[in-house]
Amino acid sequence: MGSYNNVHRVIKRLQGKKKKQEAQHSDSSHNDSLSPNLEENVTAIKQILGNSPDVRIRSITIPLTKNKKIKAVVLSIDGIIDQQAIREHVIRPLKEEPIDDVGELLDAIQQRIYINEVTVTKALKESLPKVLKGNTLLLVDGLTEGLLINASKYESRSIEESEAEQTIQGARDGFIESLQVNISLIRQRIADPHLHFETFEIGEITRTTVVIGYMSHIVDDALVERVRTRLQDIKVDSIESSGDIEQHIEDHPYSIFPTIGNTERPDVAVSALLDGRVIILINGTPVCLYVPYLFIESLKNVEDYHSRPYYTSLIRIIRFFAFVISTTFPAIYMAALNFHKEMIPSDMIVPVVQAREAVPFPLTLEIIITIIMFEVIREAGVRLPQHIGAAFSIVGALILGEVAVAAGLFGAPTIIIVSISFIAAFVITPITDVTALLRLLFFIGSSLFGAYGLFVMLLAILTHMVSLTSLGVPYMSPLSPFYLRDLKDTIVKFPKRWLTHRPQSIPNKKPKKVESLPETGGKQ
Amino acid sequence: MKKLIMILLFITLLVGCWNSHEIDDSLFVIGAGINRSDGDLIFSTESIKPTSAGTSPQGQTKDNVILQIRSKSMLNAGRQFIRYAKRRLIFTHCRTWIIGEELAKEEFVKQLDILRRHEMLRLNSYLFITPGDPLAILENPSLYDDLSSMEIISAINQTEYNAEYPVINLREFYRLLEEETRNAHLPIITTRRVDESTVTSLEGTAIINNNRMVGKLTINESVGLNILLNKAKGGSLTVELGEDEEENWATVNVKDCYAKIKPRLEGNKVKVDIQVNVVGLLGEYVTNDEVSEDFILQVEEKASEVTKELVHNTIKKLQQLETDAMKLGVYMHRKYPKEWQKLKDNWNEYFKEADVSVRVEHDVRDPGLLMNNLQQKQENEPDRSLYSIF
Repeated sequence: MGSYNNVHRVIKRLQGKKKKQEAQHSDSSHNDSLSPNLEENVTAIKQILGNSPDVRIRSITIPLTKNKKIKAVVLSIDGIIDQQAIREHVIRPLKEEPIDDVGELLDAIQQRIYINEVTVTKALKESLPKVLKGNTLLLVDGLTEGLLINASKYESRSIEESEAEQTIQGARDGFIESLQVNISLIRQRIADPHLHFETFEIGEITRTTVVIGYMSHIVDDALVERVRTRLQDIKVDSIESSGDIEQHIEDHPYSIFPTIGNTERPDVAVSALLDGRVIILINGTPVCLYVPYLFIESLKNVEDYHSRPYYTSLIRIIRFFAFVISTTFPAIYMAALNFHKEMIPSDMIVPVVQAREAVPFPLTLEIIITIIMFEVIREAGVRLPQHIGAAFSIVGALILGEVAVAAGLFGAPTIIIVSISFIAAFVITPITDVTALLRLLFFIGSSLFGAYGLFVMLLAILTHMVSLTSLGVPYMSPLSPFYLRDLKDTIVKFPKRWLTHRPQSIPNKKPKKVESLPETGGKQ
Repeated sequence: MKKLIMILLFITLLVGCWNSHEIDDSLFVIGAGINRSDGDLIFSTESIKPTSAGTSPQGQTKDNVILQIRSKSMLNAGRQFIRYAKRRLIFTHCRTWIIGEELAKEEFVKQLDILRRHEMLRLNSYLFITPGDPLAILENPSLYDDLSSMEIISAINQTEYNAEYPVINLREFYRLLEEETRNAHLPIITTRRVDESTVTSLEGTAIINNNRMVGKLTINESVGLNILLNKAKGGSLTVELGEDEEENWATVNVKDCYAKIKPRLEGNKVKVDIQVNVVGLLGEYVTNDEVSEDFILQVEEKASEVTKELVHNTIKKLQQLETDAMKLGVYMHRKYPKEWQKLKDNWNEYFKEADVSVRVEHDVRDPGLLMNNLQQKQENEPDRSLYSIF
């Protein structure tokens, strides 16, 4: 225990140092309020922002009544503001007619501006970051207050369908990098005052805008509060992508299972909202996170909700078996061949034996090499530009599939088993990464201890899975904890008519979602 | 973390190093033969040839490895094989066991103790008895499978269409031996020349009593035994109709068969009533008679006669062999549990003396739309030409 205390002491000391440094830092920047002298302000701004080419400082003169004039400065960043709006709705109205110089000048100026979002600011240091996020700062000579005019306009790509999540039926739009657009995509779909968004600014340097959204009359308040505090507690320099947020707030950062869902489709985000989930949008990424995320969702697909229930159920069962096969097939093969030879079907034994005989490596090595080669080919196929990638896949398939077997380096059954395992993983795209890791884990277990090792690994992984939570919600629900009602949309999907309630596994305030449906029938 | 390391350590301690055995260090035995010669066991095995032979210019070569060794015990033989094979022999896929008649006439069941004791050997393997050398069966070139043993095993799935041989796996065999009647029967396998080549063929049944083979049933008697054991679920039965010089016969395609055995004890005499019901289709017929109610009745009657004789002959043979392979003792035990205690020691004596009466009823159904033979149709019914295209 002694060493433990020492460690604690060291940590405390380090933390203490940090605090001191922060205190010193804030001391040095005491001079924050705006000076009445315009020139002084401009020099201060130039000092802080440097000589960046995109910083635009435009001096204007505002005519006042009685032929008086006053100097002003418009500060904006090129490329992230709407130049035309500033010219038409800020500068022109100020210059057109003299302003009555009675009472508060700033109020009078504010009246003239035709832009909705205008705030008064007193501190220069505070307003500059806002300028950097697309506000325009209007400073008037002689006044210690400035106006922050929000007329931002970013360059963004047009709305396209997400490449990762495509459907045959269903919406064709996808999230883009612009937060405003993303919010509008959701707002378009839910015209309800209960749809609330909250804004956070995370990252000392990047000051990334993060928005959470929820349906205030459906969502569990504790869940929203949990998301809110987690986001507020992130004190980092930068947020570069949704992955940062995901890994900063998830319950089990060391687990191989993702406990936060992500989508690029507004319709998925909307159905998440309507289930009582919280969505998290991050400026600059086209990915929307949502919590809680349950394991069973990796076996589902948007398409499932557009199609009729029977085929959907079949496909879901296939996806489930694909997951099992993909993770355990090499392990079972290993256990059967090296440990429990009676497991090999008698009719299959001749080809298996003859294929193994030619291979120079032990079976464990053979399978491991094959798995790694497949991973390499898969990764190369994903990373390479598309036109080279396709060619590479063919080369990889030819080398592994044909030549390696013909040369007697690998047995055909091994290649078949590993490729089935890999192909099956592509059916369940949300957790392909998890599948790859589990496949290796199970394989190591079974290569050391046969079926016993496989089952110990399976049990360990299952135990781990049931202990996972996604922001407080059990990851394996509705299977564990068991919710009978949710089974109507778990592995088998029941007809839509029967799905009258929101999933119980996700805590919500409004369980019922279908009030009544029209009576239908043939003879009427 | 400490806990996790502890758990991992315990896992490794629990099993130790499990026996991982590479396939290319093993030789898979798929068929074995045992025979007796000069007091020793002759143990032969057919194994999978690890390297595919392919097709040689002379013709197909077999993908098997035949080994033979002389030893006192079977386990010992299995280990001694390593000297020849240079690999460990894996018996988990050995499902064919062929026992030579030489050995079968001794108390061979005792010799087979290892079959139910060793963890590698499976109770779903099949036992056969051959009058000749088991090696001849294993070496015999197969018709289609690469390995003779596998080909023999595939016969067990065909009993739906043929009742001419019994199907007894090891588990069944031991179960029979531990039943009240304490006897068993096994199929006999032999080689036969067909045209240029030899094929293996299942012919007849060996009857085992007191741990040794006491006699054989012919193919017909095997059918009778299968009927009595309620195992004949398919097959064919040809009956002669009339004693004319002309060809005049019909074949019943047997679809189901059910035998009811009712023993009675009258004093010290055992009497048995056997009722056999056979359901069949009119499979084919070469006759000049018209297919009518009467004709069907005639076929049914004749078929019943033939079956009755078949069953009678079987029982007579079993009585000669003093072996109750038809499990009459089991029925006795069920009906007379108290009396059975007295009977069971000398049951085979009682069985030998038992009075048997057999009744057979054939039910021939579905002669089909094709009512008559081709020839008659042309003579008698020219106007039904519509059907003649069938």
